[in-house]
Formats: sequence, C-alpha cells, structure tokens
Amino acid sequence: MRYVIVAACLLAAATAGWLSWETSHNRLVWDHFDVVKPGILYRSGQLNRNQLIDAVGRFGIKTVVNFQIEGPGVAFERSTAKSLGVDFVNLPMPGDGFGDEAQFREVLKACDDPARRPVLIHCARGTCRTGAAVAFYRYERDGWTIADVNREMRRQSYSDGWIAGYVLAMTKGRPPKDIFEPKVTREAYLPAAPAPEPIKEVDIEHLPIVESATSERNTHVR
Amino acid sequence: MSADTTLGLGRPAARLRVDHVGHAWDLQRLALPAVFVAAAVGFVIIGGGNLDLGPDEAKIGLSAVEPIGPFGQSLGGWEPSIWVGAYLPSKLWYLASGMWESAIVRWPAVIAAIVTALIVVRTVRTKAGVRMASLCAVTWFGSIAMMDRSGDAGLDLIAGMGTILAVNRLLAGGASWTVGLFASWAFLAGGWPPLAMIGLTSILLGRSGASINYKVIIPVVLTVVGWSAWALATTRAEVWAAALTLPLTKSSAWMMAATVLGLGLPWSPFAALAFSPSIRDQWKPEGRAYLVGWGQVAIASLIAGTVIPGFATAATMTALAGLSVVAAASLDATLQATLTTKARVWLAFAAITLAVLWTVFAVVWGVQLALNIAYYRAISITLIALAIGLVTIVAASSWLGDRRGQIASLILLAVSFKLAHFGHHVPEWNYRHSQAPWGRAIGQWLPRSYPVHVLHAWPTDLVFAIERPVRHIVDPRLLPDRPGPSPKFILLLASEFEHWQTDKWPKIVPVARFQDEVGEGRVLARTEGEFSWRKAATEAAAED
Repeated sequence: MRYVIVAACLLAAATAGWLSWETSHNRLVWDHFDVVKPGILYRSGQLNRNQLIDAVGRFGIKTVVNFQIEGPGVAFERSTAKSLGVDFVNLPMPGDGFGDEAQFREVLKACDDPARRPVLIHCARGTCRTGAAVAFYRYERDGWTIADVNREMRRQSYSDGWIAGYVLAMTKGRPPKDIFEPKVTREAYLPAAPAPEPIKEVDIEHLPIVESATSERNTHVR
Repeated sequence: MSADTTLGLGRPAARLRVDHVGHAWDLQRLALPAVFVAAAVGFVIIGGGNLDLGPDEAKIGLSAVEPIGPFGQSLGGWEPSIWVGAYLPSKLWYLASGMWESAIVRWPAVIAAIVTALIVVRTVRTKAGVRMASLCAVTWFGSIAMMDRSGDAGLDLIAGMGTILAVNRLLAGGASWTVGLFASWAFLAGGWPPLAMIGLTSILLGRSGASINYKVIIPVVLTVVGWSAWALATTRAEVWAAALTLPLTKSSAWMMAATVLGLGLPWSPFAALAFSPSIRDQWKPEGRAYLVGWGQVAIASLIAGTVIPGFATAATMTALAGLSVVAAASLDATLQATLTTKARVWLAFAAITLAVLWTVFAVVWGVQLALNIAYYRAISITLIALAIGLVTIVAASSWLGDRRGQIASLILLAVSFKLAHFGHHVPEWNYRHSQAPWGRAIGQWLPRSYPVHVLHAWPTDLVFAIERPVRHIVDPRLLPDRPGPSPKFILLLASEFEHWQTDKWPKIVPVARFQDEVGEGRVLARTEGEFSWRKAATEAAAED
C-alpha cells in the first residue's frame, strides 16, 4: 500500500510538472483563448503556429490582429497568416494596454467589415492589450456599462482595474452627459451675469390708497 | 411546577436525573441546529443571490416591480403564468431593498428552501430521531436542486414550499387546517397543479387520517373563490381562464424523472436503498408510515409529473422532497443495520460510481479549465484536490465496510458540487448566457422613471435587465400619447428603425445603437423634442 501511495504521488508530481512545462511553452492549450462574439470577435494570448492554423480552420478567422511590438515573433506570425490567406494587422501598444484610440478603432473597422471578420485579436498573454481592445468593442458596439466591462476584464485575469475607465474615456457615446453641465463650475469662468437692476426708491407717502381692498383684508383678519 | 424527586410527586426534571449525562444531552441538542445551519449556509445561502435570471424567472422579477394584482405583469400586460403568490415574496423584497436586480427573485427562493427544510426536518426529528433529521437537512440542502434553485431547471421553491409542507403535514398528522393553509398558499403561488398533487398524495396514501376533509377543502375553496373574485374584478375573464388552463397546454415531460434524479444528486440514488427490507426494518415504528409515505409520494410524483401534462413543476418539488427524506432515512439506517447483500452492494456501488465519475470529470475538466482560464484556476485546483480525497475516502471506506466513511464521502461530493456551482457554473452562466449586461446597456440611456416602449415581445430576461418599465404598444402611432414623462423612448430592432415610416408615424431620433450577443442591431430611439438628463433628474428629485 505504501508503494502504491508513493507511486501515485510521483505520478501526480510528474503529471503536474509536464503540464506546467507544456503550458509555459504554449503547447498544451490556447492561451487565454475565448469567444467574445461568435463569428465576429475572438481573443487569445500568443498562439503558436499550429494553434493559429487550428484557430483559423475551426473559426474561419479572416483577420489576425497582434498588439505586440514588431519583432521576430510578429514577423513569423505575419508570414504564417500570409500562408493561410489571412489578413494580418499589427497595432503595437504598451504592454499595460494603454493604446491609442486610433488603434482600437482599427479593431472596430475589421469587426464591422463582413469581408474581414471573424477577427482574432491577441497580445502576449491576452489580458491587458487584448482586454483593452475588447473593452473598447464592448463600449462602442454593445453599449456595455463600465461595471460589466470591468467584470469581463476580471474574468480574463485583468486585476488592475483602470483599463476599463481609460478606454471608456475614448468612447463616443456615453450617457448621461448633460447632467454634468455646466462643464466649468468655477464662478470666475462662467459668463458674466447681467448686473441686477438697482432698486428704485419709492415715495411711500404718495402711493394711492385702495380703500376697499384694505377694508376687506382687515375683515378677513378679524 | 417544580419536581420533587424525594416524594415522587412529579416527574423529575431531566437536569436532575442521574441517568442523564448533561454534556451528551447538550451536544445532542445542539447537533441538529448546528448541522442545519451549516448545511443551509454552506449549500444555499452562500452565493444565494448571484445567479442572473433566466427568461421564466425574469417574469417573476418583472411582476415584482409592477403594482400588485392577481397575476404577474410584464411589458405592461397581464402575465397569466405568474400567480400572485409566485411574485409576492419578490415584491416584498423589492419594496424592502429598493433594488431592481436578480436578488429580488433569488433570495425569496432561498428563504422558501430554508423554511421548507425547517418544517420537514422538524417533523423527521419528531418521527425518526435527531440523526436522521440531521441527515435530512444535509440531503435537502446538499442536493444540486437546492444549490441551483433556478426556474430554468424546473424548480419553483415558492409554490413548492406550500405543496411540500401540505404533503408533509398530511403524512405526519393527517388532514388539518394547517394542510388547508399550506395548500391555499400552493394554489396562490402555482395554480391548481399543486392542489392536484396534494390530492393525489391523499388518494395514494389511502389512510383514513390522510384523506382530504373539510379542514383542507374550506380554506382552499375560500382561497380559490376569493382569488377568482379578485381576478374577475381586476381584469377580464379571459386572463383568469388563461391562468387556469395554461398547464393544460403543456405537453408531457418525458425527461422529468431523469431530471429530478439528476437534481437530487448526490443523494437521490440512495433513496433506492429503501426497497431493501433490511433498511426499512431499522425505521422506528412511529415514523415508518411517514417515511414510507414520502417514498410513495416520490414515486407517484415522478410518474404523475412525467405523464400528466402541466404537472411537471409541482411534481418535481414533491419528488425532490420525497427522495431527500427517504435517502436520509435509508442512509441513517445503514449506520445501524446489518444490511442484506443487495443493499450493501448498492450502497458501495452507488457511492463508488458517483465518486469515480466525479473524480474523472473534475480532473479532466479541472485541468483543462485551470490551464485555459486563469480566473478559474483556484477553484479548479481545489476541486481536483477534493476529488482525489473523495475517491480515496470512498475506496477506503468501501474496502473496510465503513458506512460512516461512505456517507462522509457523499458529503464531500456535495461540497464539491457546491464549489463547482458557486465557482464556475454561476459566473460562467452570468457571462455566457445572461442577458443582464445587454439589458443594462440599454437601461443606462434613460432615467429610471422613463418607460421603454416596444412593438413586440422581447426576451423577458433582457427586459428585466433594462431596469426600466417596459411597455408594449400595438401601434407606433400611440407612442406620443403614452402615459409618462416625455420624450417617449422606444426600443427597436435595427431593421424596424430603418423602416420606420417617418411620414405616418411620430418622428423619432436615435439615442443609442447596440449589438446583441450575436451581432444583430438594436436601436434605442425617442420621440422628437427636448430631453435633458438634468431636467429629468430635477423632476425625479422633486417627485421624491
């Protein structure tokens, strides 16, 4: 029995080690792959060549968007995409996901064009840059609230919390905006209000006396 | 009166008797409440309000935010499938919390599950002892049905509470006014199918004490007549008739028995142990009729719910309760009896099969999940570790013939189910299938008091998630004259907006465009005219 337990422990440790090794080399699973919207937008981390070929075959991917900085990896993926007949777009942005609005809008253009979708967007881990692009899509196309976008980002392992707000600031339509008007609240910045009219002094002595009104009011008071 | 132990003038108080061990008595007294609370909190209360609503439950949620009536309401019209009792607890929750969210439907169901268990477990304790009652609390709360409680799984805890408690009372004490009150509640929450199930139980038992008498009939008849009078005075007779005949329009639920057995896991297979005389012989004589009765009710419910159209929901609840009680009674009996070979083999076979199947599933699925989605990594690793522990315990206990170990492994399995439900099923369902983000996307574009108008029915879960009153209009020309503040908002499909007849219908302007979960377009528009959030907010504040 003791040998069986030791053997089981060794087997479990070996299996765990093998799984970790394969995963760290991106061979076992599609890193952070997920469906954002079937037939339109998919997301992932960096896929290896075989995985990318599988993804293109399985989901009919027509455009691959890579958010990583130009280098051998990007060049290799570009050539792979070319060999597959897939459009390739490189939108290099910082690893924390703080890309430019124009870059995020490129993703929307690809998603909106029936000839270019489905679109697979990815960065290295599929968390920050990819998450920011998906957040932008959720705001601009699905109209999701910041709370729901943030929830989706957390689900995709993004825990820092600021990308959802950063991306929201780039979006065109956001309700309600006019509730915050006037936008500048410092009194000095507001247009000068017309000066109040001076109070005219009235000569009380010469005002007409309405006898009936006075007497009626007195009656009511009594 | 104080007890005089020297003169023997009265029965001495338990605490004065030397044959009562104080500590043991205290522990025994605390055991059942402790198990009950632990099971209720662990299996049901934790995460009780997390699951977003499905289409059927959303009708209850929509009714809860509308004025009270004999039926629920959705899209500004009556909803005959929702009875007043079904949404009343949610209405109260909504009024108390002021929150328009899925919790107004989920938490009343949690409370109904606890109240039902409280009364049934109390009866089991009286009839069959503390240990069996403790097991009953575990088998009830620790079933997949009570972890999920969702209407989309065919569960109706609110009406089910009335039905189960009426049957429980019928089995335990015979027909009484209490049965009548429970049955009346079941009618108000679920219509006549629950009443039919209660009647079927009475006929099935065939005992003189359990036959329906005037104490049951009078409250039920008064309730039916009172509700009907209210319904006919409030609305047209067609709605009243639709509510009563709706169950007849449903077809037979051929998968109902399999569904119930699945929802009763991991405990439902052990109810079959009751077929063994060696198990039944261990039941106390004073509780045997009660336990056998629940077994009969479970079997009858499974048959009736499968065969008779419209009975499935009512029968599901009584079947689950019956399986829960009988499984608890059978497992309790295994702890004190010399079992027949068949019973012993079934106990071991069912426990090992469940444990092995779950372990294989948890390891394969858990590894895949942990590697793919980091968000689920912690829960996956926990489930794999539990599964390995589970299969070890069940193998060792079966090898040694340790029935306590086998029951412990089943409790561990139930805990694993709960973790999988809480940690994976709920977030995954909310992310993949819930309409809540799509509804909130629409609702954020208009103030809370402004209704959204629609030209046709939209999914009720989407409508609930908008968190604004949604009103169905039959003709677009009616839009400007609808009650409520102006401008009037209208939710359209993109195609409806594109084909809006600007020359015949009121002029509208787009407010926001959305895509749904498959990329189809929607447009929120409003009638022309000035609209200011500032003004709306000021008006709302003035109304408050």
